[in-house]
Amino acid sequence: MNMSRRFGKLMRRILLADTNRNQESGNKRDLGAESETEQLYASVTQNENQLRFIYNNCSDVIYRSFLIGGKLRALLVYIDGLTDTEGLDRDVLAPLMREESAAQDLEQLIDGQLSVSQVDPVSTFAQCMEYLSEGSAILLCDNKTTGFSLGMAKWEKRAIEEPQAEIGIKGPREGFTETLRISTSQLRRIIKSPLLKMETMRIGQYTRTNVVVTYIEGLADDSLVAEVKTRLSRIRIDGILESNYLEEMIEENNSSPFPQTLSTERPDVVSSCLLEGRVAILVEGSPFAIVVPVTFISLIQSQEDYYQRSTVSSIIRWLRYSFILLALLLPSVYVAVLTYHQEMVPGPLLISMASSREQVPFPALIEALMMEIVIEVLREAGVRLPKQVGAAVSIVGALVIGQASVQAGLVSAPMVIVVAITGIASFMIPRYATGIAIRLMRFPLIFLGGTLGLVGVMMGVIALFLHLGHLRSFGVPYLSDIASPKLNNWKDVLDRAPWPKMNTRPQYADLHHLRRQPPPSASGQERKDDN
Amino acid sequence: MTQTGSRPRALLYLIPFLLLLGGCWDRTELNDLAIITALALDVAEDGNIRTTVQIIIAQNQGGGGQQLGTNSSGGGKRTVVRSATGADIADALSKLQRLSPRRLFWGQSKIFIFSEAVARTGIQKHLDFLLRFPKSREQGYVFVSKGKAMDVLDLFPQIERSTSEVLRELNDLEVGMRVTLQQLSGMLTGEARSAGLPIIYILPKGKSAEPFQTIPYLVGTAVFKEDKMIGSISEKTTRGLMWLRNEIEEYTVVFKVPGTEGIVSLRPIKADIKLIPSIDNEKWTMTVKVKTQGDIVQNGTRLNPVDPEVIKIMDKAFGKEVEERIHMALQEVQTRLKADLFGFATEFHRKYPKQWDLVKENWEQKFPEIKVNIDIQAQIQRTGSINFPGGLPDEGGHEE
Repeated sequence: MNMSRRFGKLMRRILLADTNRNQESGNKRDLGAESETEQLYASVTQNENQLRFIYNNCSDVIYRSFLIGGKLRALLVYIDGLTDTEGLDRDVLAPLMREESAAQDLEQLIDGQLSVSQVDPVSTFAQCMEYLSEGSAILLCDNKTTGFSLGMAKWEKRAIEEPQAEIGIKGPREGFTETLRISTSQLRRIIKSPLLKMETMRIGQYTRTNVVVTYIEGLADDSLVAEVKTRLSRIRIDGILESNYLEEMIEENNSSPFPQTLSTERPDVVSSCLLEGRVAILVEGSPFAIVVPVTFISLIQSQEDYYQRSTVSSIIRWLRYSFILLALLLPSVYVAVLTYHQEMVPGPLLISMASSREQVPFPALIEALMMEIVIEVLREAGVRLPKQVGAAVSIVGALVIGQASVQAGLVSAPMVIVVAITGIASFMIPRYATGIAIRLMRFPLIFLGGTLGLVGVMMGVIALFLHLGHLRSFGVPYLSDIASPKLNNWKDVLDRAPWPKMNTRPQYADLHHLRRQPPPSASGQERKDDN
Repeated sequence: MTQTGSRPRALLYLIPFLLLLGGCWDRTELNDLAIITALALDVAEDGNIRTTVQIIIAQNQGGGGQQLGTNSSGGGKRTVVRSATGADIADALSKLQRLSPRRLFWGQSKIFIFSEAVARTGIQKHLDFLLRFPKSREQGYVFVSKGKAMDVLDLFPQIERSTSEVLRELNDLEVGMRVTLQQLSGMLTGEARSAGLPIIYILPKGKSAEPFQTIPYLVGTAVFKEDKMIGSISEKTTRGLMWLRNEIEEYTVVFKVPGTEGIVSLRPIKADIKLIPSIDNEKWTMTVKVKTQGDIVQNGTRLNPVDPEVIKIMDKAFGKEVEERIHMALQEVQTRLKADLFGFATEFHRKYPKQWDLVKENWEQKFPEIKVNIDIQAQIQRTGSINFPGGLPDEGGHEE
C-alpha cells in the first residue's frame, strides 16, 4: 500500500538519523527536524493511521474520533495522564458535539465555542508530537490540513516545597520543583521586569527536555549569553535527566572535582545571580538550576549571608573560611605532625596525645585514612538509607566510631575528635558540590602528610591552588575574586558589605551596567555610568 | 582528544605511587618515641660524665581514653629515669639509647640540669654539645642543682606530671633568674663573660608523702665566671640582682616605715630600671635609675596611707628598702664574687666603645672598682580596696 510504504520510509529515516547521529549530526539534528516536512493530511482517518503508526505500541495515547455537530468527522488525540480529560470533556467535546451549524469553519468554532485559552495551529506531524508530549490535546478534522493543539496540559506535579539541600533560617522558603514552568514562574514573580528573558531550547534525542536559558538583558554580558547558548546547542545526547548532565556538558574542565557552575534549587539565589549579570539554566525535570559563571568564592557563600545583618554575615563568613581550611587541612596536618614533627606540638599536648595513642596498633596515616573513609561511608549511607533506618544507622555509626573503636584501642580519641571536627566543618560549606570537592581533596592531603610530612601537605596545597587558579568558568578565572588587585572586588569576599555600600556588580557583568544602585551623592537619579 | 589526553592522565595517576616508593622512611610513630623531658649531667665515679634523662611513660599519663585498659589510672609512675656514663655527653647518650626500647626523642626536652660538681669544673664542653646537637631545644631552661642532678629527676611530684614540669612552671613564675640555653650561651660569650643560673634544691618531703614524693624548688643563683661556677648568692640577693637586671615581676616588697611598728607590703611591683654609665677622668661610674611603683596589699602599721603626708613617708621607706636590696646585690656580686651579672660591660661598651677597648682584656679587675650610684623614685600608687588600716576603729569609719 502506498501509504504504509510512506510511513515505513519515514520511520526508516528517523531510525537512520538516530544511528548515524554522529556522522551527520551537522545537518540532521533529531526526530523533530526529520519529520518537519511531513504535512498533515486532509483526511482524519489518514491522520489517525499515521499517528497510530508513529505511536505504535504506545498504550497511553488516546484517540477519540467524533462528529462535530453530528456531521463533520473530527479526531481528538492526547496522552493519558498528561491532559486534563475532565476539562477536555467539558470544554471541548461537549460544545463541539452539540454544535448545530456544522458547516462553519473549524477556526470559527474554536473562536466561538471552545473555552480553551491556549490554542495553537499545527500543520505537521512533528508539531503534533511536540505538543502531545507536552500534554496538549490535538484536534483534527476532515477537509483541513491544519489541526489545533489545545493547551490543556495537566499532570500530577510536586507542590512547591522548602528546598531540601539548601536550608536557611532567614529568606524565602520555596524551592524549585521538577516542573519547568513552575520554576520559571517563580523567577518571574521575583523579577518582574520584561528584561528578564527566558529562551527555551530542547535538548536530548529521546527525552526532548525543555531547557530554559534565563538572564536579564543588559545586565548579562551579551557574549556570555551567546556562549551559553552555543555550548548548549552543541550538546548531542540521548537524554537529559538532571541538570548535572548539562553542567558537565558545558563546563570547561571535566576532570576537576570542583564545580564550575553553581547548582541551586532556590529561586532567590538564581535571582540574585541574575541581578549580578549571570546566566541561569533551568532544566525540565530537575529542581536544580545551573548558574554560570561562578568563582570559587561565590561557591562558598550562602544566600543567608545577604539576608542577615552585614556584621553578623561577615563574622560568619570568616568562621566559614577558617573551617573550610580546617576541613581541608586538619587531618593531614595532624598526621604529618604526629609522624614527623613531634617537636612542634606543645609538650603537655604531645604527652596526652602519646598516651592516647599508646594502645593503637596502626600508624597515624592508616588510622586517619580509616576513620575518614568510615565517616564518608556513614555520610553517603545516611543519604541513601530509607528514612526509617537512617536514625538507627547514624546511632550505630556514631557509637562505632566514637566510642567502641576508642575503647577497643583501635583508634585514638584525638583522631576521633579530628575526624569529627573535619566532618562537621565540611558542612559549613553551603554548596553541597563544593563541600564534597573539599572533602575529597583531604584524602590526597592526608596521604601526602603521612608520607612527606608538612612538606607534603604544603606541596598538596600548592598543587591545589595551582589547579584552582587554572580553572575557569565560562572564561571567568575561578579565583578572580581573591586575585583581584581592586579593593572594590573584595567587598563581598573578606566581609559582606552592608547593602547601602553594595554598589557595583561583579566584573563579569555587562561593563556598562556595573552599578547596582546610584552612588549616594546622586540619590534618586538612575545613572548609567561605567564605574 | 581522548587519544592525546589519555597518556598524561595515566601518568598523573601514577604520581601517587611515587610517594609509596619512599616508604615513609623518615616516619616515626608517636608510639615508638621515648619522650625525654629533662637531661641531667653529673660527674660519674670514674670522672666521666653521667647523663640522666627523664622519660615520660605515656601509658601512665591517664586521660588517654582507655577506660577498659589494663592500667588503673594513677597507679603507675608517670616518669622513668635512665642514666648512662660516657667520656662526653654524646658518648653517654649513645649508650643511653641502648637502655631504651624506644627511640629517644629530644624535641620536648626543655630542662637541662648541671650538678654543682659539673658546674664548678666548667660547662663549656657540655654547652657545646647542647648547642650543637640539632635535636635539643635552645629555648630549654638551664639549672644548677645542689647535690646530684639525677636525684632531681628521680622524684615524683604530686601535683605536676613530672619534676621537669615542676621546674618549668616554677621558672615561669619568674621568682628567680630564668635562663634558657641560648641566653646562657649569650651571657658567657658576651662582654661580661659571666652568668647566673637558678639553683635547685629538693624540698623535704611531707610526712604523709611516699618516698621520693616531693618536688625540686629554686633558691638563689649560681654565679658563673667564664664557664665555671664560682659561688652562689642567696634568695634575697637574687631579688636585688633581678632589680638591677630589670626582671622584676609579680613581686612583693616588705618594708618598715620609720617611727612606727609593723610592716607594709606592696604587690605587685612595677619597676623600670635604667643603667647610665659615665666615665669622668678615668673614674668609671654607673648610675642606676630606678622608677618603681607598687600597690599596698597589707598595712600592718597604724598609718593611714590616704593622708598625703603619710604616703610621702611611706614612699621614702619603700625607696629605701629597694635601695638596700640593690645595694646588697651589688655588695655580693660586684664586690665578693666580682662577676658582672648586671650587664655593666655592655652598657659601657655601647656608650664608650673606645675606652671599653682598653679595659676589655682586664674587665675582671675593672668591674669591682666601678662606683655605683643608685637613684630611686619610688611611689605607692594604690592603697587597695580600703583606705584605713583594717580592723581599726577610726573616726571616719571604713570606706569601701
